[in-house]
Amino acid sequence: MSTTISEKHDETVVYGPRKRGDTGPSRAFRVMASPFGSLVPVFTILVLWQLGSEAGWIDPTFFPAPLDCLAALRDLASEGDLASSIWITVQRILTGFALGVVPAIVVGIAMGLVPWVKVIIDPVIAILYPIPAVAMLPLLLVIFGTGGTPIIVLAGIISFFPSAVNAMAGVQQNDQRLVQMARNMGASRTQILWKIVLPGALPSIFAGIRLSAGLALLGVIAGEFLAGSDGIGSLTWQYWQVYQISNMYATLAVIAAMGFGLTTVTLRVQRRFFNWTEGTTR
Amino acid sequence: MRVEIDQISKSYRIPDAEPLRVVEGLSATIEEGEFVCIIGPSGCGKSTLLGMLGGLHPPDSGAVRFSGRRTASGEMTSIVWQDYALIPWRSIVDNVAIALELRGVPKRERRDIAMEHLKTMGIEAFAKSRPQQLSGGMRQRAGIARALASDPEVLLMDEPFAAVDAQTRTLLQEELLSVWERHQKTVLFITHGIEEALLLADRVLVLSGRPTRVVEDLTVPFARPRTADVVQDPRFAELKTHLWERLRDATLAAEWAEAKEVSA
Repeated sequence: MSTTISEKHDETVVYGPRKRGDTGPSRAFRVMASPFGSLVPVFTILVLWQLGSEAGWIDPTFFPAPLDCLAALRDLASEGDLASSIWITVQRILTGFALGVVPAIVVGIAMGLVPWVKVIIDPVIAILYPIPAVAMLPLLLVIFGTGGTPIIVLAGIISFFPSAVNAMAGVQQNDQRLVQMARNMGASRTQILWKIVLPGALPSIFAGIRLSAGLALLGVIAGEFLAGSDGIGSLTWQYWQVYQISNMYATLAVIAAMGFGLTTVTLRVQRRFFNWTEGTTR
Repeated sequence: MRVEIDQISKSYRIPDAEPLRVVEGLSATIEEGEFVCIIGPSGCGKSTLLGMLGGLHPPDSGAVRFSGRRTASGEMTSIVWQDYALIPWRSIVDNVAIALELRGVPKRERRDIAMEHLKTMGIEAFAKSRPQQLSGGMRQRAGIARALASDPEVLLMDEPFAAVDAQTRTLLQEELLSVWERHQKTVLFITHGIEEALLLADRVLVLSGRPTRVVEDLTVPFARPRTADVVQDPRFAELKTHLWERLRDATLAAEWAEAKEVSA
């Protein structure tokens, strides 16, 4: 990136007088916008919450102090239950995600490339997509019985749609000028597909994958709440039912951390591989 | 390589309307190594003509012959695009090497060849940059390098300098002339600029509005090698006025025809 010339998109231009050494709002903004900078307001809320609890302004029956929750988390971790629950849930998320996303990308690309595939599958998606997938859980329980399978399948179904729709859109919105350029250069249809259309669709496909990852987490947690006998979601639900609120918050924090980890990892991957979409001028 | 455009026609189907006749019975010959500029009213079918020469879409009737050989594909030509059409996820060197890549030239070899053409255009320092990091002028230099790297018989240029600023355009025009004088490719260059046409071309063809045909075939008398100084030649102003008159007539006629179509 050292050779950037003449067109810079990322520089903040500020008009008017500035003091020496004044790095201005742009720097604060950059820090806050980073994944870890985004933790600052969260941390602030936690501190206020802790102080509020200690001062007696917040009812610990519903909102136990953060430090109490942390202690509960430490106890749970030392009992060993937590690690195995997390592992079960992570496995379900990954399996359901793969089960949904891999066929979704294949189907989405096929829909984008082949008009008759789209004609057949598009109405099916249009009907199924608006149904809240959690509503299918009873059906999945009937089909797959209890245990982990219906939860994994639920996550798969939920994560299917965004990936399929985004893959289709990515293929359909390919840059026709590049296709024409490649044809003029003598590219075959297969070459145009592999060198122009599919690489051009990757950012959109990956945006779909990111959405699907978040939904896979949602699907697994919802499934474990309602039909799980193990996993971190099921643990959270049990603590609610026996009214161990500190423990419930501790497991919720674990789920939040999972979501945060997922978002951070996918964002990193996106910035690493698809930085060419930033500042692209047509 | 000599290019013969023989009575080509092209029309586009429009739902619930008469087909739009863009090109009808257009003929022209471009000699080997000749630099021909094409000017004409906006929307007259210049780009359609270029697309037919570049193998993007076949003419409805008539034929394009390259040194007497009839061809349907674009294997003889490389197009230089107005908006560059560089692949945003590839480095400049890999953009320039694409034609060779499509032909199966091994990676190291095609990169070496691409680097040679980047040097020709003076942009080898940006080989590893992405297109969106470069200015318009730099991008079009890469576009020209890419066209040269595919080693075509004919360069087709579709208003290549329309999107860059005036100073850069003058530089690019001079660079193009010097490259052309060394490579002696046949060039077909579409432009809106009369001055640009007179500076660059051996011959200027003025096209009419749709359906388009050649209304003027002017031989440019200035000696080669040329620089931007030709504008000071007294004949330059004369030819400019002459071409403008023909272009104005064609543009007015095209506008009237369009107005009639709209009101009909």
